[in-house]
Amino acid sequence: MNTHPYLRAYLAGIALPTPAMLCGLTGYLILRYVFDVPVPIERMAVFPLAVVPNAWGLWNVIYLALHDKWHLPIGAHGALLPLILIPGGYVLARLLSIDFIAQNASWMWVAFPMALIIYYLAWKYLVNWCNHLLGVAA
Amino acid sequence: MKPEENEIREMLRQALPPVNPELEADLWPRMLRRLDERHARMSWMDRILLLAVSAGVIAFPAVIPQLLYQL
Repeated sequence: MNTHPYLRAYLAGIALPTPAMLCGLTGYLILRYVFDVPVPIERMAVFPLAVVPNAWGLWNVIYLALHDKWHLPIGAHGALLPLILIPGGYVLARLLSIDFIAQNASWMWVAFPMALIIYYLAWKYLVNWCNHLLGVAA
Repeated sequence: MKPEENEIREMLRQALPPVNPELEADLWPRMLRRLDERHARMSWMDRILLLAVSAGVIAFPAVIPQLLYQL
């Protein structure tokens, strides 16, 4: 299985956030339509639906491309991704007027280290496992 | 069919290798072997990190929407 390594890396990268995004979206739909929490689901869904899974896929492609040169452990590589995603998500939330994110920016400082740890663990164990499964260098 | 068409057809047949529509091997057993091959054990440090995140989420439930949005 030596062909198309970057395509396999991309697929291994999106394998985790894609089903996780479905779970998150289900949670938001229940909040919105069962408990009537005023969440702007159409605007809110843009970032986790379109940006996050693709970012994971591309981040794994970058990991594969730089792995031989940098030898950065995959967990540390994954933990760097929130440094891009969290500010990006916040900016998008402000642009799209997603109030519960944009107006609660102070909580971002609590969420930030948690996201780093979650990403570190997810990449170290789950993405690494997907990479191994698809024959991507790990 | 014209003779030159026959000639082209024959040349193409010689130039291109025959295509096997069936897979040469069943890939599923290889997939199962890979699934069984490696189960990384979580180190104690990572367990502590996981516990810390869980405790953080329980202590500050207001971060859950933020985390769901970003992750």
